[in-house]
Amino acid sequence: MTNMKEIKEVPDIDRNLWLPGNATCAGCGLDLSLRWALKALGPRTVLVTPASCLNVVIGVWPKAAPDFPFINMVFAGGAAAATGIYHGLKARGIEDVNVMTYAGDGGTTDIGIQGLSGAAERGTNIIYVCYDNEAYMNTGIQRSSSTPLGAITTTTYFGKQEHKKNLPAIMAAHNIPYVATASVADPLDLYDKFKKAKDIKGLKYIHIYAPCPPGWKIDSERSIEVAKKAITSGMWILYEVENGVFRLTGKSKRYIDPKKRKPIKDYLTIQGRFRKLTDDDFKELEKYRDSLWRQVNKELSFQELEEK
Amino acid sequence: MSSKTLKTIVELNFRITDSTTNPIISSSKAFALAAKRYGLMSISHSDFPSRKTGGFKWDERQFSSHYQPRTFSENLDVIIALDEKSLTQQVQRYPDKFGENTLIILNKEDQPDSQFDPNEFYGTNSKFFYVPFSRLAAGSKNTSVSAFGYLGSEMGIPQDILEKAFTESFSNLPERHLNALKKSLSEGYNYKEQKDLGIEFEVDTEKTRRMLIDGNQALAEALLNWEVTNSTVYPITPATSIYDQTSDNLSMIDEILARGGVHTQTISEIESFGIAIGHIWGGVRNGTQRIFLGTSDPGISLGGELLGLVYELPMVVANVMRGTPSTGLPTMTSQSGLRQAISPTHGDARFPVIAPRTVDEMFTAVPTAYNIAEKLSIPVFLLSDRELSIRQETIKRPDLRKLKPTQPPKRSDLPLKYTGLLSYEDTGLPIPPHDLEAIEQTHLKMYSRIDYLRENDLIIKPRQDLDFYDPLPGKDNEKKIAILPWGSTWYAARDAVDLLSEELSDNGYDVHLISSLQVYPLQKILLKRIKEYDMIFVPEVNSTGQFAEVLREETKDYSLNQKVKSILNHRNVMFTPEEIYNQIKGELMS
Repeated sequence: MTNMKEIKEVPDIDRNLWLPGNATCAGCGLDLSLRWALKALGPRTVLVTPASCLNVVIGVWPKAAPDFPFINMVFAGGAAAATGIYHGLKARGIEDVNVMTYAGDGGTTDIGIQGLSGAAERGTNIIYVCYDNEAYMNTGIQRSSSTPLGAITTTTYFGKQEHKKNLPAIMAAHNIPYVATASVADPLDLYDKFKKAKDIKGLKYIHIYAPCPPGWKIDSERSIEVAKKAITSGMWILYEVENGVFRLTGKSKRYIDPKKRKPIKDYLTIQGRFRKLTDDDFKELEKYRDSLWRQVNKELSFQELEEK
Repeated sequence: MSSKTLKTIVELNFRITDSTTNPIISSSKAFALAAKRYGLMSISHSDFPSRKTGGFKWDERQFSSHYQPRTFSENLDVIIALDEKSLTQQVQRYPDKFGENTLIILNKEDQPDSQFDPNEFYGTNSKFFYVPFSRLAAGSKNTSVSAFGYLGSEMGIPQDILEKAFTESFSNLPERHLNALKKSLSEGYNYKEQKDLGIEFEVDTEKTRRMLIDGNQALAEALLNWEVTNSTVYPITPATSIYDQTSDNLSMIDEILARGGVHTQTISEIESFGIAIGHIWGGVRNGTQRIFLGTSDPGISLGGELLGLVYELPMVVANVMRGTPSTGLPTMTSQSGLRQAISPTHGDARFPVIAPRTVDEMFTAVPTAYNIAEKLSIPVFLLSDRELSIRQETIKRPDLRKLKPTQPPKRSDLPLKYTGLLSYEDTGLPIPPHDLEAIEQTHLKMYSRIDYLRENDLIIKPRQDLDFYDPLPGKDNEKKIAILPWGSTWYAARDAVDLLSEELSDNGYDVHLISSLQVYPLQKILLKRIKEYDMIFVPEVNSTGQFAEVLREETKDYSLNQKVKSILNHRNVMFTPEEIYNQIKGELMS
């Protein structure tokens, strides 16, 4: 008898709600993640997008890319508009529609965090997604609070001096029913997380790692390679926190063992935005990565203790 | 194998268009740099609607060595289309740009025996040329470079100048890409031997020294020259490029930091206005700091509330206007921020507003803004717009030494009855308006300071050449009409005055241009001038005629309702002189 892995549910690949031929750059992480997210959520979805690349690349009717209701929103209002839409639909007795906000890292970690925190505290039944390309790409690559240490942007010429804001952890601290991180390097894991989020009541927060070739100064064809290396080096960790229970998922499971993690240099040196990193920066980033994993270990060991 | 000369021109109107991924605007900037070094003056006008309409962008430039081009003429001399789709879209959207004398160069292999008539296919009556730019640029990812090489050789720009400019502009590319780029440039350059367009581009031997700069760069350099120490920003197109590279490849942010100043990138405009206010309370009154904040209409909508707290403190807020909703989708040219700038916080609070009209006026507008701000102790708005922000122009190098501040930022020396500056005795910090009494006082003083500005012209040196223009100074006709533009509408209005004057002077009309840097409150000199005219036309790129409204309010002259006519354009693109000309002519004939 051969050992066969259980085959996961095969997504409905024939139905593309996010149409091809849109104006995203080649190798765009946003484009890929949104396509997979919508495959999981299905056509009964309303999407709200605060100012970001996404509400530029959708295009103008009749050439628009979304094959579902799509609403442009002001920068600070992503979560608030989704809340309103959810309540409006509920008042009409419509409860089978997924209301989702798809915002960039600027719109989430910077200007949008106030509304997001409010919606999370109220437990509004929406999905909030942050596609994290680690800078303001639409306005021409400026730093955001999600930009990692050392990355060059037009407002940090010699590399950013501060570390990235850990927003998934902030959201987990809101005690919402579902927080997850995902990556375009692991689309099936991403798909599963959206499937799961769809059936949970309350605010679901998903943070997606989405490379941006022009902003990160990488060739378009290396977009997925970079995303994979982020996971293998342990710089990006795939996990979910469901009702307070922390769990590593997908390809990140094996990297709990520090020996298996690849050197972070593999991940950093292939990106032009990190070209000014010094040896000290590499060490600092390594420390940062280790501190992320220390938190993971802490969570997991606490849970173990609790189970006992 | 050069064919006989098709035409001799002193001014070249050129456009490049593409719907694929070629970075045409960066290439075009590099080309303009080379042309400037060769001694040509130029002006640019580009649009980036590509993302919205599905991949279609263009960049237009006008070159001349005889004079500084100002606006764009109706027909193009040369258009290079890097793909057929973009050419189709150009013809559909801008049919007027294609005339009999337009040379269309399409990126395609030559087809000498083909029966295909491109003019019939595209619906034009222009001259078609095929040049295989993609083949010439083989190995390079940027096809437009070979096109610019070809154009450069047609215009007579030496190859080494071109190569140097492109190498500098694309210096961040890896070695192999840069080599491919150089090769494609020289392939394009040498293709002239095989196929000559037959343009004779006349170049004046007397060349002037100029600098190539866009509006936002000029603003940044003026701010650095005025020794601004504190700046805060939240990224918003089209204001963010103020903080990008200046024309000397400096970063405004790094310069400010290097001089011991403070720059903060915030997480929203609420925070950036808040931080600016903190800077003021913390430093300006000690006479050490100058504060700047650059944003666009939506940013002022968000942070405007906080300006209510700094009624009585100096800072300069630049609004690179774009109008339209705050969703990140539409960034277009607009002059929609005037009424917002006058009272962004609530209807009772009024702020002085200045609007530079040309790229080079940025250098004098910044000192003017800070002079008003420091003299009156009040936030001042400086209005630019998208068109001005990305317009690259060759300007005369301003004498920066003359435009430096002569003294450190100082406390207002106006009598207390105007400023109402109150400070704590021990620290010298101003009493913030959360003190009830102070709030009452601030309200009262607010009006006084705007009144003070009405009564006293504070601008250092009015730009005579921009403020008033009479194309036929000797004539004194009975009927007088004026065009009164503000902001970047000035460019088109200036040429429209020439067109109108030519036509109407024999019909008994004098046509003048009047204008002012300070758009709120209006200066005495402008109010006096207005009275001399029978009709005043105010061209504006908005849908409600905001400046015309201000004009009617400020003059308190109700007969002006008849006299002032708005010429509006809410297509979110800049006026052309012909458009203003046609509308005024229509109005006069009816």
